[in-house]
Amino acid sequence: MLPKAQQTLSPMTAVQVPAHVVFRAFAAETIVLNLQTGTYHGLNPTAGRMLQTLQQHEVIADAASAIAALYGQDQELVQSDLLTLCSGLVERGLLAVKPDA
Amino acid sequence: MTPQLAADAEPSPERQDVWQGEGFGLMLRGSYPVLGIAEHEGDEVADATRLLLDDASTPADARGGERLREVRYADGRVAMAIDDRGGLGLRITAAEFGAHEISRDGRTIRSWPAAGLPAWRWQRLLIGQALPLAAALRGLEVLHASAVMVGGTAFAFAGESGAGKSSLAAQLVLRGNPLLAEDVLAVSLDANGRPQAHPGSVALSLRREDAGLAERLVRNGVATATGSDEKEHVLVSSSQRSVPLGAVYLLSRKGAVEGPIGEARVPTLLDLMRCAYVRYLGTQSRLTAQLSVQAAITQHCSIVPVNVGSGLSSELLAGELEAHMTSIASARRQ
Repeated sequence: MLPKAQQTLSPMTAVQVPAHVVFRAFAAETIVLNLQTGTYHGLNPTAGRMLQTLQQHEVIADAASAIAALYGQDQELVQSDLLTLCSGLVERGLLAVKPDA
Repeated sequence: MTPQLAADAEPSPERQDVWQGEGFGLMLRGSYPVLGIAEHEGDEVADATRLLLDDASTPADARGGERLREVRYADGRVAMAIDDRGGLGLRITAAEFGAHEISRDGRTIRSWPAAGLPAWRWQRLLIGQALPLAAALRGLEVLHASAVMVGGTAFAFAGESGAGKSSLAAQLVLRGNPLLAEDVLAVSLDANGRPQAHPGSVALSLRREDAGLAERLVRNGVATATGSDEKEHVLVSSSQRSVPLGAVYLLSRKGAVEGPIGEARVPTLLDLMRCAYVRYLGTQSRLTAQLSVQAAITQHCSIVPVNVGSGLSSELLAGELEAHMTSIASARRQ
């Protein structure tokens, strides 16, 4: 069964990093800091690059397309991985679903 | 009774600014020189952190705040406390040294030295706590580390109190390497996002068993004695400037590595959190700035474990470390 957050996310969902979350690329990982709770989270380099791409392409399908093109990967596979990552981040309050314009 | 400055009052004429300095990455301006901090000559500097000296020996406003940090003597008495007083600033109080209040933006430090203390003694709290806190409030990362300069690169020695940071720094000074900072090292990012280490205090505090080391520093003309209490205090003469940070040597007595110097590796967040000096300040702007500097350190510097309990004297260890640092500095230049 999909986690609760993933059930609400689709490839056309737009997401954003909330104001209370900052992230920086460390040499071997990306550290995401929730400034409201003071909690640090570590992402592996692949997930870190995905998060970075999501800042430029807010719609998950667009971000997946950009990543797939950059790394020569299958877009559907990338999109699936990206949805899983986004779900985890949304559940932890590190990513927010952008309200429809 | 001597007049006391009101919270926002300008200093009296005899307390006008007469000194400018540069330390912990901050420009400083005040009515008194800070021992161990390089004097800044020339025109009045802009955006300096202002040092104000109060005439009273204790602050009149005793309102408390949220206690951020407390250090106690063995008998339970409070030796030092740091309180967040909201809009009034952060107050550092130590029974033996006096009190300092730092504005929330780190741009003003008002000091109440304990009565009768010479400058070298009451300024230990200023140098050891108030200035590092002001630096952190102004966006610098502050490491619990001493640092020397080798080949135009800064090398930091981090470790818990008693790990031997100061005696190692003293040995490296005796070998001709300029001391950049004693015990507290301020780091910021340069225009290219690389970590830049800033000169801090060159007032070296050595344990009583290292009194011979202090004497040698003075005898060799690289330091002057300033006083002694539970430690020997000397002021090292050092030409200082901000330089790129090359590596952090992590001193430990637990012998986690084979031989005195371990393999250099990429620092982790945990490594750098262990080296952090101002751990009690959790404001959002401070945590964000800290994360940026930590990320840059992991990208541009290595961390090297050092076993100070390997049986090697600090003199011999300094020789090995000097060679290690020289090779890192040389590799960075290529």
